[in-house]
Amino acid sequence: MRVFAPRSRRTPSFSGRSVLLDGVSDYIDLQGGTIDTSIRSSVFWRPSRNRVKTSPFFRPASWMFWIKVPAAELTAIKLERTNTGEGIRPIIKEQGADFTSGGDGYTWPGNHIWLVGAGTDQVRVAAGWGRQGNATVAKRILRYGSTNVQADTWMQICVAWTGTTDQDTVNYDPGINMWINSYAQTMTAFYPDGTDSGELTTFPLNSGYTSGPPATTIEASNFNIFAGCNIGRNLNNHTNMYISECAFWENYELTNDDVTALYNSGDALADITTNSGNYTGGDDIAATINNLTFSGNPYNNGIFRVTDAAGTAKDYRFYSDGATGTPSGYANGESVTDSSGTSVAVHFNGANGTSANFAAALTGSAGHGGTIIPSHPTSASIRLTQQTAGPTGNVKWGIRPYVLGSGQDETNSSATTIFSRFSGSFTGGTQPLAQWWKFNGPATDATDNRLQASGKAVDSSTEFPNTSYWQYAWTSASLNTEPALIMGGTWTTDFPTELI
Amino acid sequence: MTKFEYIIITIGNYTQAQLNEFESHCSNLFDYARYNKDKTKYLLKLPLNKPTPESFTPLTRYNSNEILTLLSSNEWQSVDSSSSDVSIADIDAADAARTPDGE
Repeated sequence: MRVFAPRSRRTPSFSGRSVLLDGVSDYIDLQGGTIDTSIRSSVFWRPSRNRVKTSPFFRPASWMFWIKVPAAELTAIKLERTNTGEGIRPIIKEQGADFTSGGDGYTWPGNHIWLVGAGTDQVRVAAGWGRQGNATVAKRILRYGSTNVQADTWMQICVAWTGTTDQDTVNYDPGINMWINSYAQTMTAFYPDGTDSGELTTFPLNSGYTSGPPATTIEASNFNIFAGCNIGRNLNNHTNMYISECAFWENYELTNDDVTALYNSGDALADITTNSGNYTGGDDIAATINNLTFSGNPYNNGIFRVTDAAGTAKDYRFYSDGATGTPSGYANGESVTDSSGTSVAVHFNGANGTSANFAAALTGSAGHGGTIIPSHPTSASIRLTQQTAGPTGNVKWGIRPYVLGSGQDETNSSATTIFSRFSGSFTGGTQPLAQWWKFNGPATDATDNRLQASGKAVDSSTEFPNTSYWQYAWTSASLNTEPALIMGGTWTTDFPTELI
Repeated sequence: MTKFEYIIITIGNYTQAQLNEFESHCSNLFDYARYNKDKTKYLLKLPLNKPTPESFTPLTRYNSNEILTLLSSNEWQSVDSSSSDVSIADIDAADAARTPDGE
């Protein structure tokens, strides 16, 4: 049998056009699963979006699409719903929506968005996570919105995975927000087999998705990078539609204001990569380091280096002088110079005292002052938000153990005792930064005419070396700009500007 | 806008050179085309605005409705036709490697 070698197909970016998918064989492949360790990333580690909102491992994510569905396709969906109880067409699905592993207790919760037949005479947009398919409906969440899909009309679809807030079996909250043409949707459970299968009473899916850290082996696995992530296709189920202005936000939850600005009265916002009006999901996002929690005593003279968005680095040095927490001669945030160099004083006297004192030092006379704002989610934790936003700042934003006078030294036991995610003395760690992936450019490679994903990623090899689970997955992360491939779609000049 | 028809290629009936010629006139590639259960037939998409060589003459051409009807048959269902997808074995392997406190 002939073996077909992988090849790529050169296609232009959207740029004022759309792609018509024929509903027969066309789709857009987001090029996941590339076996290339140099571009690994935790960005698309799917279970992170489906966790309890308060989990330190939860990260939101958002999608936007503009689609136009031919009347014949809507008719086909409604007819299928009537005849078979199904009636479901993919807008986008991630591979996890299709596979189970390890038996009934385990499901890969890929996220997915669909056109579905809601009753026999309506087509709605549905979004969810978990497996799609008849065999294991109990392992899936799928909800459809309240706005009917209009034939041959451009529609803006935004979906945000916001984290679940209630996982009991009665009031289960899937943590999904949806907007159609900027209107927030009321979500209703959808059962592809046409009957109430009781799937919503079987949660949580698996305790692993609601608690505990992500497995590094999974995060580092390349198939999590948009693996099997297709637009307009799920296995042999293809959708006939025009599609344009696709965007994905990692670690960002679209808001009502964002969506309204993106909708732009029906004239899709031209550039999502910078803030515009009420839209704050551009790359001008102030990065926040959440959930740095302290337990026990840091190592005396242990040092954090904190670099703010402007690139200003300061070394914060912990002084222990017992229960009083008052090192003689220095106040929190005061500059200290000795034979090893200059640092900013931080007292500690146990976990709670460490957290409060570290925050005080950051805003002290020699600290970062207004460029980094600390807050206390709990008495033993600290949240740091940089006030100078922007892509450069975000990339530089970091915190890591440091040995004064000799540069960074993650192998120094004293430093890692303070910082290490695993040691028990310092838990939590830096959170990944908000990013956007827009499949409409600006092209990251001007010479490449394919549909491209413009991504931003942290260079963890220099900024966040081996400091937490999250950063582990960012090892050697470079810009994740694998181009999406259009498999047989047709470029058209049709574009979502006609609703003005 | 370009119109299309669809053709089905039974690959065992053609040489590599002939397959390449088919592909060069179509808008999709064998690598990403839909195929039937036993992977002997592939679906290609043929634009109507370009001339095609004689090799296409014996092939039945289908419009969108016709091909959708054909693809709904058992022969073409339940096959994941994407060569870019990750296999279940890949996922199982990763699953087995998970740490106890991970998932």
